[in-house]
Amino acid sequence: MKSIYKKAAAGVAVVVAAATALTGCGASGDSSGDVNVTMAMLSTYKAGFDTLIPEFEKANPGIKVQPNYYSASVYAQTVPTQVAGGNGSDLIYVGGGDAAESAKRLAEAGHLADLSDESWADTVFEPTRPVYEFDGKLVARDLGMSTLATIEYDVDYFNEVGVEVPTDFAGLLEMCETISAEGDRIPISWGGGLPAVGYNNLVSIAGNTLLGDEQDWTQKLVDGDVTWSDTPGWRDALEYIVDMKDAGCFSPDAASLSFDQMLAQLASGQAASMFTYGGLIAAVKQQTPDLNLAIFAPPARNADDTWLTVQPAGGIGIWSQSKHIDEAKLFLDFISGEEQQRVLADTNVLISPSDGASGNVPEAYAGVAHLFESGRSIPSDAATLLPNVTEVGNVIGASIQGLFTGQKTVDQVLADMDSAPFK
Amino acid sequence: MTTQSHSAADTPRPTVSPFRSRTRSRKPWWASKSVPWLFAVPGVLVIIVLRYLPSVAGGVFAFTDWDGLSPDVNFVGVDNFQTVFSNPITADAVWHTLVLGFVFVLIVNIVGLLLALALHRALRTRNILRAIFFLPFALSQLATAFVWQFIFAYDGPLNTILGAVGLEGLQKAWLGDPTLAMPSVIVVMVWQYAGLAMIIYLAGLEGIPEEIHDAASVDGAGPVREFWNVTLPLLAPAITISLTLTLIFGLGAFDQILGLTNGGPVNATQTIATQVWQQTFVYSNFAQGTALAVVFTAIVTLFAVIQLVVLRIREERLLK
Repeated sequence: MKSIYKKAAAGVAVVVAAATALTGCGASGDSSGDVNVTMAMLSTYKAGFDTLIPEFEKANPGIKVQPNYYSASVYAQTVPTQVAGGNGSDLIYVGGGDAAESAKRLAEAGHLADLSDESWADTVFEPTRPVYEFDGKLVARDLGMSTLATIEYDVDYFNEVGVEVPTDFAGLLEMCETISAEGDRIPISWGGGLPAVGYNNLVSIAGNTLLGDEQDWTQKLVDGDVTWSDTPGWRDALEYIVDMKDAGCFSPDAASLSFDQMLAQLASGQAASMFTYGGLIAAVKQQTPDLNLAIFAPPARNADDTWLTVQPAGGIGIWSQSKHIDEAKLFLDFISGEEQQRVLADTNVLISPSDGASGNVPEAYAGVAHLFESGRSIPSDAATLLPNVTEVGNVIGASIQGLFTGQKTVDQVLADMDSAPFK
Repeated sequence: MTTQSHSAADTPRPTVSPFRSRTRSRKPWWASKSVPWLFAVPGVLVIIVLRYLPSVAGGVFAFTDWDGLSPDVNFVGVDNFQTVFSNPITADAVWHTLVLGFVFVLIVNIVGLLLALALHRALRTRNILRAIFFLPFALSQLATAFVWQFIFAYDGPLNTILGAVGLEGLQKAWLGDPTLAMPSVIVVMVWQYAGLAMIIYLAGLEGIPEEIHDAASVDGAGPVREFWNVTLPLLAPAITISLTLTLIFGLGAFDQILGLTNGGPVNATQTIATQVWQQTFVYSNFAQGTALAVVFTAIVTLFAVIQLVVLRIREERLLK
């Protein structure tokens, strides 16, 4: 019996010693004295940071950046919980809008450090700056921007069937009819199963029918001076969608098509184009690298009335309780260089902040460069002005599904928009 | 040599301490009936601390306005519960949960029982068939949902097969039509859980002595009458277990809905479970999500208890 107890005690001692050693290794500095700066980031940026982190570490001996990558859906559920529980990473990806991982929510809860005095603060892309500010303070470095919802199309297929990029709405409907007549592809893949897709597409169209000319409309809505239903521009935008549906632009199951199915349809050649966030070209090309994709904005009924709605791609903030704020700031300083911004932006087919400011858009955005150059690009300001834009967007997007299923008319969708619980 | 007869009065008593004699006359401590329960205490404590206490602690947030992030928490009474029933989306979600739960329970138990009856026979391949029918239950629910999403796609295999056999009129947007989306979800759930019901009923059938069937045959009972008057009553315990388990699974359906329809189209497949996720993780409305979770727990507990009580009473009556 005594020998058994001795063996058991020895085993426990080994486990305790190992745990102590591992705990020591997990501490902020490793045995070499380096400072470990942790970063929670979306997996879509991995390729960019795989390039930049070694460069930063070489330029800053003694500082190691330890990234943890998450898919978007896992990030939204995991990282805010970590932050709220006191286990946040030093550097945190922050999104727009009002979701849990947004700069707004995290800053409101006191989880993001003030970066207003950083040397790069003035280089944040001005139209989307409000997304990364809270209470007058800058709380994140923006990573770039893309288009809120444009039509990303297969250039080679368009050339094959002789379809030109439409410059007005009639041309868009003609494009749909021509591709439908070919019989082998869906003209435009619309991932309506995710309500946010329907909402974003509607807002992008409304850039042509309303928001381009009345850029303070969202503020008026928040102030209670206007409603969705009494603003003709929203009716026009909804009728735009109905006209596209009736022209056979979409598949019969567009109302339930999932986000992944939408990407897969373009990647696999089932669809000639998709109507969604421009940066998703990167996700499609991950599936089919050889696909030649380009972008055009949903054209207005008159070509000259077309506007481009721009969407911020998110940024990086510093956890307010980080023990390595200075080192984290050094990293943000490093990635704020023009070349470094471009590396990160290219990873996700985005426009870097500096390129956005100079109008020097990447090749993928050549189809909308003229809108940047002519000053006809507007930020999607609902994300910053509507207190609960995520919920509002979901309610409206779900109602738009009814346009596809025949359950709802334009008037009913407008009524649903008015009853969307924005608070 | 003389023998002596000894009586009990002559038998010398062993010299032992009076204290030890009291101890020796009692049962050993480990034979006490309460000791097995004492051994269960650590496990019970672990379950309470790790499973039930967090749920109760989380449930407190249902009476606040906490968003899951902010350090500020304000008590709001039953506002969140009022919102559950006044918000048309969440009110409809409660209704969808009940419809999905009860329709699923009915169909999956009928299918499971039929499979069990079919595979209770002396078939050479019955073990392989049992494994095949049980396999869907072993698969990941979310992965299964994604596979079925592909099958139900407008240009997916189901519509393709229907077109190939001349049934173009039956080609539908199975997940895009609000009237078909919920039935499609139920089909997937029945496909996945029928094997579980089958196994439970098979176990019940195996427990019925063959002599009872022989006696029924001798008495002139046909197959239908034998099933109704002999087999079904004796399956009562298995029915209780299967109905209870499938009701819990049915009311709590989440992965299948998320993977197939995301609660759409037009909120036609929103249930309490999907609303809890949406309110908590999408809208960051932690308190509202918790209130929904409390309502959900109450509904599941209520129906599970009612079902258990009713079925147990029925069991005892039938087995007398």
